[in-house]
Amino acid sequence: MKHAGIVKKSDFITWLASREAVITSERLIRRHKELVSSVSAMEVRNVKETVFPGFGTLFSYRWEDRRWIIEDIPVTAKKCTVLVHPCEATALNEVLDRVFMNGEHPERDYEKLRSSLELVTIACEEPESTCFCRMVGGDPFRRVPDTLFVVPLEDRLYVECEEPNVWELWKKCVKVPSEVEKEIAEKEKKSREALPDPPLSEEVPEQLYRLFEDEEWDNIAWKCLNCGACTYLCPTCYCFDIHADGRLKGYQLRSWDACMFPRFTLHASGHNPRPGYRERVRQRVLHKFSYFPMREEGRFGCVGCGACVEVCPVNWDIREAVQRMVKKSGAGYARSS
Amino acid sequence: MYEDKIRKIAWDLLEKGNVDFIIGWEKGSLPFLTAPLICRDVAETERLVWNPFCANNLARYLKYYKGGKEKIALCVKGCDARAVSVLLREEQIERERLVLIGLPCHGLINPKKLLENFPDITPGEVEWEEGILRIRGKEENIVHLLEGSCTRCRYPDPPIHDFLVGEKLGEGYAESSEVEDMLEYYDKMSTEEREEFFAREMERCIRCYACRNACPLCYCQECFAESTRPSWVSPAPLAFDNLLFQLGRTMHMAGRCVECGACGRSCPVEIPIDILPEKVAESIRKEFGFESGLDTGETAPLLTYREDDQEDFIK
Amino acid sequence: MKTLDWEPKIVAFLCHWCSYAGADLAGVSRMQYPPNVRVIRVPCSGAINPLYIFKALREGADGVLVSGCHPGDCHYISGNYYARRKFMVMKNLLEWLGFEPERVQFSWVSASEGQKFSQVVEEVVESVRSLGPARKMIKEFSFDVRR
Repeated sequence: MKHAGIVKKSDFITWLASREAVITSERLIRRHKELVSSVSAMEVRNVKETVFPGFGTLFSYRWEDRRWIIEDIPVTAKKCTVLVHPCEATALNEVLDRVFMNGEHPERDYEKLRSSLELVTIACEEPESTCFCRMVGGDPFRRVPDTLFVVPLEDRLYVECEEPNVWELWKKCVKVPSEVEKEIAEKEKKSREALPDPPLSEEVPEQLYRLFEDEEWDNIAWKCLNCGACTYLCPTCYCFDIHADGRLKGYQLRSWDACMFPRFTLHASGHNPRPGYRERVRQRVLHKFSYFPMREEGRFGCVGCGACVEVCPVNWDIREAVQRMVKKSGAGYARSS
Repeated sequence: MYEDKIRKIAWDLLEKGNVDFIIGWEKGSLPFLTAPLICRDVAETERLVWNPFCANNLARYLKYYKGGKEKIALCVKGCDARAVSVLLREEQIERERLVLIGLPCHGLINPKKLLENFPDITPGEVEWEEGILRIRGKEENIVHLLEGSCTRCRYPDPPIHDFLVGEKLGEGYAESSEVEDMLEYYDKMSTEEREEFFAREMERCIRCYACRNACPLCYCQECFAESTRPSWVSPAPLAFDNLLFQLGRTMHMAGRCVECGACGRSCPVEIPIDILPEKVAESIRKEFGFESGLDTGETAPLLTYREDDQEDFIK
Repeated sequence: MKTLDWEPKIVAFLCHWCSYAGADLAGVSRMQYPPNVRVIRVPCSGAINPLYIFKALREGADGVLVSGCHPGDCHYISGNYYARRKFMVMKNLLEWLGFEPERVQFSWVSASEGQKFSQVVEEVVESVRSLGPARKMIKEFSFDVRR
């Protein structure tokens, strides 16, 4: 059930300021400075850092009295309000949550950090040249479940949510006038039009999988430097490495790892199943556009935020790569959705 | 137009079968960016471009062809050619397999600086022709838009090349009083400020190894940073380990770095990491009078010694 | 955070042919020097990779001492000459970055200079002691970015 309301901008900012902590992403600050400038918001490069930080400790260990003493280090999670765009909210809600929280064995630390977040989705009115959320089933005005959906207007905000009782802000909201509804619809249309890439069809994952041995991968992958910039700044990449720091006394650390590194798949025997840039780049594309959706009911492992396109040192564009392979596979695009 | 000349050369080379492929730049998918391009087919040579946004050091790709038989044509700026020259000296590639298309370079434009100085500019409004930059039809001086490493450029002309497209420029920006040298800015800081600056920057580092992988001269099979036995630095992006990784990398570049700035330009979190190897290159130039990649036949400074080297720091 | 019970930890890389023998001589001659050094024997000062020094600092050393043969005395003829250039470049860089110069020190100690060795160690330990424990820019490990 959808509930919509209008709230004054000043009320929204007061509400934000009353929250325990506010986190927002770099790209959001770039566009909506006025919303967060008066609250001391913490800025993250990449929203996954809030639930899956670049490194952290699992436990500490030391050799004492001829035995190992292992101490658990539970995470401390503070209540946080996170302001993000729909793509980033989708990354948390539909990709990372599926990975870490689904099934019998939810990841303890992730669960704790994730449950302490409340997401506020700010609609994306001006998609950038790197954006392609519609291609992977997203939308710049996507109402991500369990989040507060906000469209900033002149001096007020349009607010939408499923469960008004959860949000304290709701008390300040008033009924939406019809002209505002019209305005929102227009904005939505405009924003969608700014994203030229049509949604990929449902067959794409299967079709791409068949192109596993295709020679085209070599041309696509050639210029890739095999650095980890794209994976580390990707909100949905969740690979990690576990390693001990210290010999007789130290910490077991967990840090991000990336399929772009040769060491990622290196076996102890010295054999590497993904020895070259071709295999590694293919893995990155196929994992997001084939393996993940095949396993997770069609949800692409990419949310189209464009962070990887933006940071790539050689302008390796995942859109181009996918489009090239999709064209080759003949899967094509979904009819207008 | 220089671009046409490059395409013509590339076309001829491929058509006559003198080379197997051409490595150059093509237009990028985002404004003010270019991407490396490999042309195996004459038709693809049409995509080659040459402008002040050709930031990638293409000598970086030569490591893929070590020990192979392919003949490679490579587009090289001054710094790229110097990198090739170091690779030749270190026997990473054979000169007979290379055809170098030399491109005297006026300096690279930093897209961020461009957008800062000219907000809302579109690629159509920037014209570049034979060393003259026109923005919105008005001639502009490139020096305020330069990439950091280009402000220290000494050799805009490729010291080694087989073709030369354009006029030799002779001098880089290093001695020019118009341009503020990138290193000067950091040199002017007090030691405490510098320490704080690096501590802060190293905390932002995510250890994606873009700097290492963009470097034309980093070609180790196994990098010390990724070695596990022994493990020199933690793979986790801890600030001190990030610094040690950079120090290790810088020491590996000592006496080899050609100051192309590829590492700094590649950083996704915009840490000006090229200042470390450039600082070392500068101290080596001052101390030993050596500049890397100039094809002079001189021995690399750390592979030789003089009996009267400075030793006042040793007890 | 200088505490009373804190003692500096110094890692000393000594060349097998001169400095290690010099340390040996200091020992057999019953010379006193601070016990803060942990000696690592290396074949030659020229064999010391800067990474060794970085690793020592990373693993908790408060200071590093590198010692080799006097110029001209190298067992391998020129190892220490190469080392000298390498260390000069490294030292300049470290100082420029704001590392205290006393943290990484160099010396030439020959096999006959037991006296000099004990003196060098004393000097190094004292200078590191006056600096206090190495600050390493390491924040407390934490799993929560929202520190």
